[in-house]
Amino acid sequence: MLLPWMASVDVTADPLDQAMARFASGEDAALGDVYDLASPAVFTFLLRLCRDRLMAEDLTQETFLRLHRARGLYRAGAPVMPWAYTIARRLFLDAVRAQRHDTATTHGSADRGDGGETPAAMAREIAATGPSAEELLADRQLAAAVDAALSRLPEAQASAFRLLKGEGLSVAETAAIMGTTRGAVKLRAHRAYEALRVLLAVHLTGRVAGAVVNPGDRRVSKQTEPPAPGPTAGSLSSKSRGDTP
Amino acid sequence: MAAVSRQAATPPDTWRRRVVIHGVLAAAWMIGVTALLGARGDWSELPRDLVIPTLVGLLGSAMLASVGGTSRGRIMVGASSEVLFGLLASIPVLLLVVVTMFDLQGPETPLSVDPGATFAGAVKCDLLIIGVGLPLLGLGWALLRGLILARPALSGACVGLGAATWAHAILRVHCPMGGASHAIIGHLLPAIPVMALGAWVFSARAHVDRATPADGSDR
Repeated sequence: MLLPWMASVDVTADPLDQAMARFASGEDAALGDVYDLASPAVFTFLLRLCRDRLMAEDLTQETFLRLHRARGLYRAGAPVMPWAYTIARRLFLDAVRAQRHDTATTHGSADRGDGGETPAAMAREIAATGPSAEELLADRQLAAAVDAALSRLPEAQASAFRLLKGEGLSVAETAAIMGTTRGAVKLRAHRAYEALRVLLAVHLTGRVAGAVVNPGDRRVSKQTEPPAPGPTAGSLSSKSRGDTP
Repeated sequence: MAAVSRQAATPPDTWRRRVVIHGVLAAAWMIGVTALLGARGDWSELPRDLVIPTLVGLLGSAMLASVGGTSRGRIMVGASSEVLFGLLASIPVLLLVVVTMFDLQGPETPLSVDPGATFAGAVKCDLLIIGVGLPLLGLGWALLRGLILARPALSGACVGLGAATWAHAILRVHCPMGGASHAIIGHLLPAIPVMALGAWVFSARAHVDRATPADGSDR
């Protein structure tokens, strides 16, 4: 049985949710905690969506302004991150719609890659890490290949994949964030896995085998011949199938 | 974030206060309109076994649509898509059942026999339902200000359906006309433009909010 002074302390709650509850109830100083705890994940999520650091920073600030404005509507105990991801995604979609005709800007930012790092900067970082440089380089290349492959998928598929696998959210939370049903999320994620499997097989084997990528509609369609079953591609393939919800 | 931190503290229970204020305003509007229009002349003589199911069906449908459309949802982004789709698919069917099973079996009026008069009466009811429903739609829109909805168009359509159904219930007490054609054309169909307007307004709001200067106020 809890003593009266213990009743208001919920040690099992997420620190971010607790900070948001304090902020929503009028404790302005808690906004700093909310920002510190949530902004890295929101920024990373937006950066992977935008592939443009400046835009991601701008949208991250906008996301927290929206959280601030809607703080009085916060439901005590509700998870903050899915809420923040929803706001961030809506802001991103609005920004994309506003810039849809400005294709030059989009292509320019997409070419920079995740975080805008140059090959020279990557090489310097790799050189400074010592004996595991080759592994680090391989990991970096694989991560870049996954990001590049995700950037070629439709936004709905890429977001479903990132929220489920990148952010570790549940199917229900992802459905709420994307404003769709759980079945639709599973379908989109499954299509993303399939497309990623084909795109990564193409990347890792270094040849186009059984896949045709149409950058125009950013969809991947398979032809009759399956991708070449190289060792790495095979392991990725089985992993992708195992991850299907 | 420093500028944000300087804003005044938010009073607790903002959502509850909002719901109460908007609910009271909506109730006042509906009671005022009902008093202004008045009940049909033979209201007291209508069979209770038809009137009660009709009003219960209409008011229940209106309540379901309004609560579903204005719900904050589990993560403050509105009701889930399943709930919104379910309400938008089932409530029109329920209304059709109520209208055809109970409402239309009431006493036929001589007006319904004349096609011209039936059409004119239907147009009048259309305009009344839209006119009564629009302020309710506006209240639903105001209730959700500041929230970013995951499916704004669906939420807006649901709020619009609720607003039109509340208006339908009020008009059902006032309207002296009977007949299937009048009930469907004059009382059910005006829900469509109100739903469409709700979907458009709620969708457009996201873009308006995006363009609004970030002053940190609750608006």
